[in-house]
Amino acid sequence: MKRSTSLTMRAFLFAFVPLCVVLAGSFVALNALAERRIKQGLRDSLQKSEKLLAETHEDYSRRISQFLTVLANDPGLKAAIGLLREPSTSADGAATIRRTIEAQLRDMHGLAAFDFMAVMDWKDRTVAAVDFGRPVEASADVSPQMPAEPGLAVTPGGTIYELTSTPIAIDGEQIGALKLGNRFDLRRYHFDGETVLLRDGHIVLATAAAAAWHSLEAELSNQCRDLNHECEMQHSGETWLVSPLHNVALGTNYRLLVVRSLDQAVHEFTSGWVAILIRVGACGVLLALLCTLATSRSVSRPLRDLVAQLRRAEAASQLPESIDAGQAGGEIRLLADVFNRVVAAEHRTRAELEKAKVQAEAANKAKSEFMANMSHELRTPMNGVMGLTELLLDTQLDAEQREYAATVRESADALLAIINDLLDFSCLDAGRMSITTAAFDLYSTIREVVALLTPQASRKGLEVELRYAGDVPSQLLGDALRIRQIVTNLLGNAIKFTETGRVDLSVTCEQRTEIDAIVQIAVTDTGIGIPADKLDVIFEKFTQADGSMTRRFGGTGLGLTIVKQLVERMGGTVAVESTLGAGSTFTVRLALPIGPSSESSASLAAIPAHGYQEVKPC
Amino acid sequence: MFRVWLSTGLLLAIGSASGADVSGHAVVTKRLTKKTVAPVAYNLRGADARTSTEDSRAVNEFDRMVVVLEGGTLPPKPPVTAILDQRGLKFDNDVLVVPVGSTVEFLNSDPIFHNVFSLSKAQSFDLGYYPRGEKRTVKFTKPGVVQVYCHIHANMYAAIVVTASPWFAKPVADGSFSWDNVPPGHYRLMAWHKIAGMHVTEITVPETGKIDVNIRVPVDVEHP
Repeated sequence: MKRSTSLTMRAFLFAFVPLCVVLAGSFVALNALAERRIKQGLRDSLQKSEKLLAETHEDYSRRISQFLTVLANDPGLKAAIGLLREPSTSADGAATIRRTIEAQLRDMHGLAAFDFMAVMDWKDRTVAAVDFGRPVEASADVSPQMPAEPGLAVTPGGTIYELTSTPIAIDGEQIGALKLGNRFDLRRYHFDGETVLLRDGHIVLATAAAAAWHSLEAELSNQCRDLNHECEMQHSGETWLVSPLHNVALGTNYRLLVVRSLDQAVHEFTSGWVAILIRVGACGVLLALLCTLATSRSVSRPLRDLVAQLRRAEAASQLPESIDAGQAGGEIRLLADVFNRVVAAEHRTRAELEKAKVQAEAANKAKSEFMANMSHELRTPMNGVMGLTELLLDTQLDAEQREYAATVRESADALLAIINDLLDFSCLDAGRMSITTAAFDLYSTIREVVALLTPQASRKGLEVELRYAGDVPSQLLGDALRIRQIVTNLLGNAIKFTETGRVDLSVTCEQRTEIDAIVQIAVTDTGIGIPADKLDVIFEKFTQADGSMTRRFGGTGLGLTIVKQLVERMGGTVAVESTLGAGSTFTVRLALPIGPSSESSASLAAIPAHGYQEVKPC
Repeated sequence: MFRVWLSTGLLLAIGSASGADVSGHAVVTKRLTKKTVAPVAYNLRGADARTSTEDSRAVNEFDRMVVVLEGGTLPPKPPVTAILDQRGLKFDNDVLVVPVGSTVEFLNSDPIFHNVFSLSKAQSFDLGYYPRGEKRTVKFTKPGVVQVYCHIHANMYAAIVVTASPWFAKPVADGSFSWDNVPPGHYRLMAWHKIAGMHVTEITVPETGKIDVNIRVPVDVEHP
């Protein structure tokens, strides 16, 4: 049984298939039994028929013989035969005697209408013969050959007579014989099937169509060696039972056979009850079908109900509160109970997790808001420190004081950068960062960043090169401030993590249509690089490739996180390739709408770039 | 008339002086019992013939046989008057032999009618029905075999051999017969049996002395 077969089908097959096998088996067994019985029945019926025929004929023959004896006892006939014994009987005289006897035979024909009548002399020579089946004038020429014993005789013309012989006697002394016969009538022996008369193995008469004689004769001589005994033969695709009729003596070289088709008899016999059997079988099959279907459905319905409940829950993408086993009991109710307990436990776990998650999110949000507020609040005193340090530096100071004041200002700048990063991160994390869309000039934006950071690079002895591809449209729509922040962070990182060598910034247009362009900004350095296993984590919050780097290179570890979040907010991607010790390449891909034509760029360019330099608090 | 008879006797005496004695045996080559046929002989469907043996009794075949020596020049014997009695539904003599010109009286000794008739070429007649005690007379003027039947009783059958030869006989019980003083010459020895019919053999009679002749008569049916 295949695993995929349903419970209903299994129940059905287990009940139905054995039933069919039993039915088929009984059918075959009954058929075999019927065939055996039929063969026996055919034999018995033939024997009975033969016996009956013999009994009937015995009585009939006795009466006929008595009658014939009377016929043969005619003094005139005897006197006529006696004439042959007289001396000096000429040929002419013999002819006269023959005509006399023939006339007497014709006279007898009025009493007993035999087809053939003949008188033999005491030496068994034919004295006269009359064949009433033929023209009178030809009668003497077509006499059949007279067999010594009674039986069948054939005329030269092929007519078969069944002859009987009655002695003509005077006082018990035989002086001749009267032979009387009728045409052999095969129909008298036709009980069933076909009756065949053979002479020396050749068919001379048969009830079958004459066209079939030849093949029948061939099959008989091939398959039935001994025609004195019953045999079976194959003929024209059927089995035939060949039974000789023993009680009918027709002469030594004649055989009378009854040939009957066994298959046909079996068919006739079985056709009746086969129909009944088929009807009973069909009813049985139908009943079994219905019973097994009902049984299997009653077994599987509760299961299917459970499955339907689970399906509904699946469609609603949630676990059901509970499932109902309905009226079902036993194993199915047990299954439902166990399932309900599991679901209840699951529900409890899930509610707890939900609660914990909400609490955690709330705590995180509170922290971010605190950070955002705090950073904002931190900048106010920072402005105070920075502004007053600027003012202090404008006063008259000696060299030492000026140096201290400059250090304060640099420290304040660094602190402000850190605070700005924290503020940005908090805004992004709290989801309060908004991206504006306005026309801007990408080239000048990037030029400004490069110009701003070049001095820092120069101090480390690094060369910074900007390659701005000619096909990159300058006028685009987007948030110029955030793009500047992205490029600043990437370029600043490159300069920070590169000891010697160079930093390249290339801007290319990957794809351009009438309305937008995909711009690729790549920053390549010859710095320390990033290990392959760290490439995934460098965009995470507060991480650098190596924890120890924070101390070595400084920084909050928030830069790349901010870059990634900004780029994603703009619908772009950021990727990194790096070889440890040889350098890294950060690539940002951004799809930006193309801004108004360059004719109007002058007016857009009028918007002062530095006006957006301050990070807008969120 | 008397003289004629006398001279004939004289001639006969002279002839006998120069002739030979002929004696012989009729030899019946088959059985000497009467063949019997049961009334119901054959089953029409070919069951075995049923023959009864109760009627088997010995008969003397020579009683039903006549031997005649033909071919001589001597005149026949003088006619006689013979009686053929009908008794017990039988002719009481199976075979009668008479010289030509003889008269036979057919006497009915049975208490029922008989109707004696003959179809034979030598002498055909039909005496009609006649009752007991009556007799009808027939004179046989031509030599030959006259077979006599009864119209009413199919089993009655007798034969009368009418001969122009003076040498005729019914063989005695052992089948022997003899004639004296037969003139020399060629003769036909004829035996006529009631059932077996005519059998002939040629013999030559010498000047003097005796000859023995045998004539074979197969009585039973000979199948060809």
